[in-house]
Amino acid sequence: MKLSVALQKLNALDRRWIFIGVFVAVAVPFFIPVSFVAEPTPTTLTFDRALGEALNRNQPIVLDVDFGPQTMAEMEPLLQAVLHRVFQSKRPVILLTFMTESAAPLRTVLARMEQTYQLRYGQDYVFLGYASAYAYTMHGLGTSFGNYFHADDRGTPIEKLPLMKNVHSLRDVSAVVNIASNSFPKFWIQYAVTPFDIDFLAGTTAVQAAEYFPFLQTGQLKGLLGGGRAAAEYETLLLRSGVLTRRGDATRGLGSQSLALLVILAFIAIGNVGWLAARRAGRTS
Amino acid sequence: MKDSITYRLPFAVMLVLGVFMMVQYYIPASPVVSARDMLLQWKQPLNGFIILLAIGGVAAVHVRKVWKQQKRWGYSVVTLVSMFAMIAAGMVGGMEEGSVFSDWFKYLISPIEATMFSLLAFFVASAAFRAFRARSTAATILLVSAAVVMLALIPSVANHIPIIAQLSDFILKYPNTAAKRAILIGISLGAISVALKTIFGVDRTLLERSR
Repeated sequence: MKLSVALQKLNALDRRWIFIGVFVAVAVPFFIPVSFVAEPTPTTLTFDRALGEALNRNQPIVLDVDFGPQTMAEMEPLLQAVLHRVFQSKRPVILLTFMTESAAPLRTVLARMEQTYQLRYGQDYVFLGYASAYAYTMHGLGTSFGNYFHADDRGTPIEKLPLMKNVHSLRDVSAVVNIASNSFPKFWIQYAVTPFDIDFLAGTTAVQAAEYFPFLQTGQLKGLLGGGRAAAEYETLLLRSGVLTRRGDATRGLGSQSLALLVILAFIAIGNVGWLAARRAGRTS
Repeated sequence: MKDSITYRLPFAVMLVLGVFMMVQYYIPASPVVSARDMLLQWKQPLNGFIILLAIGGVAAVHVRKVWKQQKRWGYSVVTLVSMFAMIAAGMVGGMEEGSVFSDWFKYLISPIEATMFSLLAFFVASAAFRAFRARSTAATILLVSAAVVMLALIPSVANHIPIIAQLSDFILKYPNTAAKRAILIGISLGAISVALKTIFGVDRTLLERSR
């Protein structure tokens, strides 16, 4: 009888216990390293294959980065993994953003990449900066870069950038990669990928990834990395292929993510036990 | 009133531009592409005006609140001071690395936004505790699917019990994709219908409401 009453109390567990549980699960791996290795799934392998094919075409790629501080913990490791893959292949990259908040974190990441790979600005990469009216600009880039980006992020006129000399529109790039925490990959597909037949890859948050599976099946999206777990898988893949020499932030974050998921699952189980006990007690009374 | 030129003109503009933007998708001829490019470029300065309108709107609402000392007017003061301080910092000192604007963005806005978003983990955990109950067959299917997908995200589980990873992959690729595609097609058909009604002036509520 006592056990039944105790179990019924679980049904209405104070949510502060849940908050404490999640906090401990997230915090512990920072002090006691928990090592996990994320094995690449077929989706991650497909992304790498598609990106590799685009890089082999000897044309620049466009990398559109659209995430702010809210999702930086999840998206920045993903961006870094993709940048390592691209810069290691020594293919030029044209970066741009449609979110004002993305420019500052992107500049910091690019400064690190410039040091690591001894990159020359204007030749190995350019950052065109922020553009407003994303859907219109995406559609317009199909025919012209110069009409929408008159100067780069540093104020240099676009025609003075050596990398942009032979790039007039999206037809002159091998692929567009969008690392975004919002719906921009969908806009790319609607306004540029389908009308201009462009190879398109995306990196999104884990929550959003489910939305893009239909586009992956139709081939409008050639590859998809969904969130921190996919970034960790990509780091494993890059580590094995020699692109990375040590594990990155996504793999380090797996400890917190995995323990938090286990704690949430445990609370869901506890909630169901409590609910069943309460239901049984209700029936007998 | 409905016969006046000021009432009819916006609908005429919507009709001409709306039909042109639909048709241009199917005509890649150079005059059409040039006209389309010109129209697309108009959107960028228009966006600037939209931002000005938004700033004006926010300022008007909060100035009124402060002036009338309405409930919680102190927060409106904070909003106004923050907004105009950020605008002034960007316009006077520039937005380059090391500027006041950049520092405020890095050390104030970024941590505040990150903190707000991080709280989601706690609320999601609490919501999952209350929502995922095996109350009915449908709820049980939802509970089991969520548990499988979550378990598959834990590397040690996915690596040692491959069936969990395969099951999660199946859930995401088939039932999830089927549902998402159905929703997507439904939304798209709805959007097409709303767009056509607006372009052809069938739905005039937008303009009439603002009068």
